[in-house]
Amino acid sequence: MGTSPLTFEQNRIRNYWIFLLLVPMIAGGMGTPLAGAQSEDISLTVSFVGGGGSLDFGRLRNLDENGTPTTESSTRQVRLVIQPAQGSVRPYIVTQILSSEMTQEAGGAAPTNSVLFRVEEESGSGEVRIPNPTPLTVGEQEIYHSSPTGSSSQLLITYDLTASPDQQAGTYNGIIDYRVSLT
Amino acid sequence: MMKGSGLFFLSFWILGTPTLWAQTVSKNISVSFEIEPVTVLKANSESGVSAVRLGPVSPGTQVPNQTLTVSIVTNTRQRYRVYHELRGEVTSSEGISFPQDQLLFMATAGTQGGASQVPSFIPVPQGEISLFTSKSEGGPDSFQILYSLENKKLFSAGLYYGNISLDLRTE
Repeated sequence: MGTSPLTFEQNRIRNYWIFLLLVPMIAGGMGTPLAGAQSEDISLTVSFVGGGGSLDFGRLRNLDENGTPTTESSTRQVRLVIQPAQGSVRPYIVTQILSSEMTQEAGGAAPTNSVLFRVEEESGSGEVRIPNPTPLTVGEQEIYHSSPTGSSSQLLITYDLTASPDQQAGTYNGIIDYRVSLT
Repeated sequence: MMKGSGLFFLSFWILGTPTLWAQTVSKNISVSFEIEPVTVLKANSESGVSAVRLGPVSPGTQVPNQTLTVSIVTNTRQRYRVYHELRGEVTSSEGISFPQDQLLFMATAGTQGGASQVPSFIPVPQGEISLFTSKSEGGPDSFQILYSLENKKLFSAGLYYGNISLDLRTE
């Protein structure tokens, strides 16, 4: 009833497969950083101060009824709540992204500097990474670095839109993307 | 032995993959606002009022032309046209009609690329006539309307009045 050399090789291969399946599960259960990354999600909640489902500045005029240039402005606020997973100690970065210019129906773009924004840390112990106020420009803007331990934070972003006198009439649209990245 | 080594390498790759570390969450919002369309047409004579005063007229004497400066202020980019309308006849307080062929007018080209539709003097017609067209993309512009009296006929004495309307329409 001895084991033949061929049977011995088959047993070794079976043992390795067991090893492969078990190690990630054991490591995950221990909560080590390596395997714990799978559950180290971070949540981002975006809400509009004053309600609504978008950042709508409404209707503004840049010429009055006599054709005289005027500079109406409008302010809206967005609140970001960043909540790391329980037990996470990884810092994170908040980035604001305007992927393309805000344009109206005929393709006219909103002038640079027509929207200024400022970031205020309502809670948390991180650092706002932009001067306040800053023009909303196309591209990525790192706006916040969390504390080194990645504690939760709440940010209030205030956007000020000013209608430029030389701006074309029309409805302008754009998309702002907020990204939270663990570092 | 070869199979065993291969399996060991595979297990290392699974544990060491860096993609497990990258954690990003993102959300996007829509941004919108509207700039209200405004178009204003202003007409002012050299004296600064919206009126054209020709004369006094002496028979056979050349009367200086009178100029009305028309300014279009707009934040739209639509082509437009300006119409000139003489509403009714030019008549004196005694009800005498001024000879229609003796009152002439023309329009200059726009300072911003608009075109005159009446580039040389013609009698001012009763009713509406197209006077000026903007460049294709519209926009602000300015031009002048020049009024002239032929004064080659003998007119009845009196103070003559007429009403002129300028109307801007987008196309």
